[in-house]
Amino acid sequence: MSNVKSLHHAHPDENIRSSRKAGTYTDVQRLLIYLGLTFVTTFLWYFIANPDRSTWEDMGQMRQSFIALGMVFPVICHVLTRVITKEGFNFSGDDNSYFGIVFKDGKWKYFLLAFLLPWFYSEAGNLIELALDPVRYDPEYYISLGIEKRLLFILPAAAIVTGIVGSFAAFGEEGGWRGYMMPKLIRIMGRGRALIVGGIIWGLWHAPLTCIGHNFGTDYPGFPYLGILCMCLMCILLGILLTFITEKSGSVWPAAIMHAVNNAGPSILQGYVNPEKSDASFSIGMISLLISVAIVVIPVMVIWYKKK
Amino acid sequence: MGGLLYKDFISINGKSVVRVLSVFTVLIIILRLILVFVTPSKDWLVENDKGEVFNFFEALLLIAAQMLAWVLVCYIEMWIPRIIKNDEKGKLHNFLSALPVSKRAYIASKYVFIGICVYASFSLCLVWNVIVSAFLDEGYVLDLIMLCQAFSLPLFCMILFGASVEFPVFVAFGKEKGQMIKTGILESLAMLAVGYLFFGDLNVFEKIDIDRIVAWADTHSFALTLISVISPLIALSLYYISYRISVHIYEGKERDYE
Repeated sequence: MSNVKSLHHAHPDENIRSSRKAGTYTDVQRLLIYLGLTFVTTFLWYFIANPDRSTWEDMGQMRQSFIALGMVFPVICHVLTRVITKEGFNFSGDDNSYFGIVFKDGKWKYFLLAFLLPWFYSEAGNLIELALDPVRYDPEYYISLGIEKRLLFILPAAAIVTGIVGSFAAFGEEGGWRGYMMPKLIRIMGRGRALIVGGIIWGLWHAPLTCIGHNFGTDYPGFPYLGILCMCLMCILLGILLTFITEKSGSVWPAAIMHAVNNAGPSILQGYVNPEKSDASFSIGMISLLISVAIVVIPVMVIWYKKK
Repeated sequence: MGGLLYKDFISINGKSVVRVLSVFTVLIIILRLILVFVTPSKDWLVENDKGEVFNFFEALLLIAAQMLAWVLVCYIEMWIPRIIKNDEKGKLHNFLSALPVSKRAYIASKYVFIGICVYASFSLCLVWNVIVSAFLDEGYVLDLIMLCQAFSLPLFCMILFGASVEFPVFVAFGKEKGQMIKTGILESLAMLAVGYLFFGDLNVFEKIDIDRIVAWADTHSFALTLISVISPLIALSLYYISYRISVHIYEGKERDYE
């Protein structure tokens, strides 16, 4: 809604001044309050919403969506932390909440990027998967997924529309992680370390879901620890993209849209890649996904640091 | 812009609306969880025409959530004249002319406000659907929920379509005349419907049956997905065109401070 300062260039003295202005809490204390609230409430939700401890594969799609409502806790805890620490709800400046939307100064480009980037790396991931393990190619796999062939070709468009209209859940995550945690982490430890630490925290927050088989299933060597590790890696890479988009656009909304489109799986090729045809299902899938996201992350990092 | 949006939020008594909707959401979560832990007695189980047995209270919870979604849709339709009326009543136009706010920004704030209301309400309805259907097994009630979910996006797009027609009329003629025109059109449509009930072919309604609609939705997933993709695009395009028309009308009324 108004001009937004960059997330990270505040001088340490300014941080101290802003902390003093807003009350007696330092950035570290605020971050710890936020993380404590987010982890406790979300883990409690996962416990209540899955009373019979079913695995992700065993529960229906609607039950999965019910458990996924835990995604809204980061943004709720963002608001709660601001209320507790008397930080206020600025739409610009140092303690920006990033809830506003700015289209001026070419910032609309980041919204466009948010729609298209997940589609690009999802297709790239499937292509890499096929290149690494051609035996997975199955021209009729979409039938077993219950998708009509003509539906398969409007899947990216459907995922983008679903991403926009159903972005509230992703906003729940991004409003917390990108809207509160990352700006604080960047101020505390600098961007490079913050991107890694932030990704690890985000990955660990997914741990209860990974333990019931979300994302990677339950049938892989090293379950669930390897899954949690991979999730942290995935979150570091995706976190770089999402933080870049949030910082450049001055809003968490493009990141929320990107996250939602990513979750909607906007890939045509997924209808032709059958993971059950190969023994190395987990490792190949994970490697190709990491490579495809890294392909997008590397140029982003180059642009970021070149401008810096 | 933030101030203009907050003004509209106050004029619709937004805080009370948020409170009521939050209470309903918590209530629906509690009822849903109660239904998980309580074993249904025989009296709660009913059978449909196909012989499928389902829990009556689960169906009731679904109906309550859907009814509230419809109430919300009607409410947003009512907020459009209310936010215009509030400005006319408070002589806001005189006040605005003294502020560094362009007429374009003023009109944009109305459109953005209704857009946010539609987005928030649609998101809330999705959440209700997810809660209601969370612990259901495959069957009749789940089919009904999926059907409601499939049609909820086009339903909320109808609000945007309605707002696209209403805003230019209210901006051009003011709240009083605008309301009269809206009432006139709605009453004419109601009279046409009553006329059809008296003189039309009522056999058409015999073919409309919830089971048939569920069966149609099962076999026409492509059409449903296409409707879900196209309806927001059409509604948003019309909404934007309507915004440009409203700005044109509003700027033509008086010269801007710029």
